[in-house]
Amino acid sequence: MGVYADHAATTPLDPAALDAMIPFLSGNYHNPSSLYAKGRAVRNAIEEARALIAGYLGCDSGEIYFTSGGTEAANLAVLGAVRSAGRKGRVLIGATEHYAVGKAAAALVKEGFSVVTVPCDGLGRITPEALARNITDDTVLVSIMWANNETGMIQPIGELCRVARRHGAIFHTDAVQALGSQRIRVDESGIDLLSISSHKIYGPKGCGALFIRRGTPIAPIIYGGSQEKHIRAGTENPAAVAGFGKAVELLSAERESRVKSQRLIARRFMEKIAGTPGILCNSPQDLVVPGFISLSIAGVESEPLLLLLGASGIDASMGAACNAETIEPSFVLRAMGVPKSHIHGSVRFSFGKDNTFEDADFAADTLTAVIRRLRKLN
Amino acid sequence: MKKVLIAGGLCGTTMLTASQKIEKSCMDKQIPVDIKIHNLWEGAAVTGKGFSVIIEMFPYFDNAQCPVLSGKPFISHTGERELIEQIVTLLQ
Repeated sequence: MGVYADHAATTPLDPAALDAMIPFLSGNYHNPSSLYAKGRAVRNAIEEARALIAGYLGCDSGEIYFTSGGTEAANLAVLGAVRSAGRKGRVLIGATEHYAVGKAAAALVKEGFSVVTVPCDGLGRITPEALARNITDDTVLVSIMWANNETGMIQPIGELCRVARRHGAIFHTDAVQALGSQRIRVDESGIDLLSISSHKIYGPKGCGALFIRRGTPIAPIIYGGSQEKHIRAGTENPAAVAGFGKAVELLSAERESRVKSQRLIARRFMEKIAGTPGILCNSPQDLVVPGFISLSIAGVESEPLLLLLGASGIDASMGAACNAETIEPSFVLRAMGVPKSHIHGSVRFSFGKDNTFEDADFAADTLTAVIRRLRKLN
Repeated sequence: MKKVLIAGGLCGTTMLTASQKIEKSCMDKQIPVDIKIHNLWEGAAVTGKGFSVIIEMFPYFDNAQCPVLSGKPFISHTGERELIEQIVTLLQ
């Protein structure tokens, strides 16, 4: 029996999304910038997907710009907005941002900007008060992710955005992990920039988008043709865009049922492991993306834990990286203050729309058995 | 010829460095040794049969037929020399 419990890493391509892609991988191969009819047909398909995504997010089609994925969209937001702000100053990012934001911001230091990391609380939340303590009137951009990729923690985006705007700062949120479960309406919030990705919502890899609120100055980070209104040069990827549009269409119809099912599966899993001592849950289930479970387990190490889970057919993930000196625990969990006794045994399960109660039971039982085996070895 | 297994996962570079240090120490003592590095992510079904000693970079082996030593000192460099001496002693 195999259980895929790593939907935060990526999701399987929905068959309907694949169907939407196939025409552009076969007969409709034409360049959407070409003026002849077949080229224009591909162009129309891209615009249809753009309209679909814009409708779902509550904005105009003209405010959606396609990219190669969430990372490029976040880079375009952070680098593009700050570089065209016309003034030096501060860039504020959350302590638990994905590297797509963190490293893009760090690159701006060499260009004369200062980067300030807003600390999180013990649950990994960036509170409006913490942002208010760090923001100044020379803050050019605030970038705080909607939901964290390791713990699923959902940030108070509306309030954070208001604090940013009170100081005249542009507000970006990396919504890659939030898109699949949260109700996102940019027209009801003051968000200026929002980055999303297709392959986290059962769409294809290699496609993402950036919402840029009309009037927000943005400089391109890729130079070349005039595609995407000179903001993102390069021939578009019609197949991936079509797949992304279909994935958003499906999400629009199924979001609530997916949220309900993923929450139930995660609750079942948590109930099954409740009897095993020494497990810290970094994902309080009422505060995180449904299906997300980040655990830190005393007396075991992440890598053998993942290895033995994988040997039993369970695909999960660990928030740690190995470098030459030590096995570095996740910076997110460190920022949250997860104790040393547990942090080296961190593992993330992220259940998706197709997981079942049997999956939750099998994953929980296997995890419990693997913990018991590894603790015996220590 | 004595056989050593170094088994681990993501820290391939560390395992390679460890094997070079063990090999050098064995050569200094004229102990012929064959060192195998195994990434458990490529194949977790490793019993350790036929080895004189196993170095595990994380706790993994629970019923090997030879001594199993933790390779942590090769990662943290604390106690590394003592570990190498222990390995050489086991191989003599």
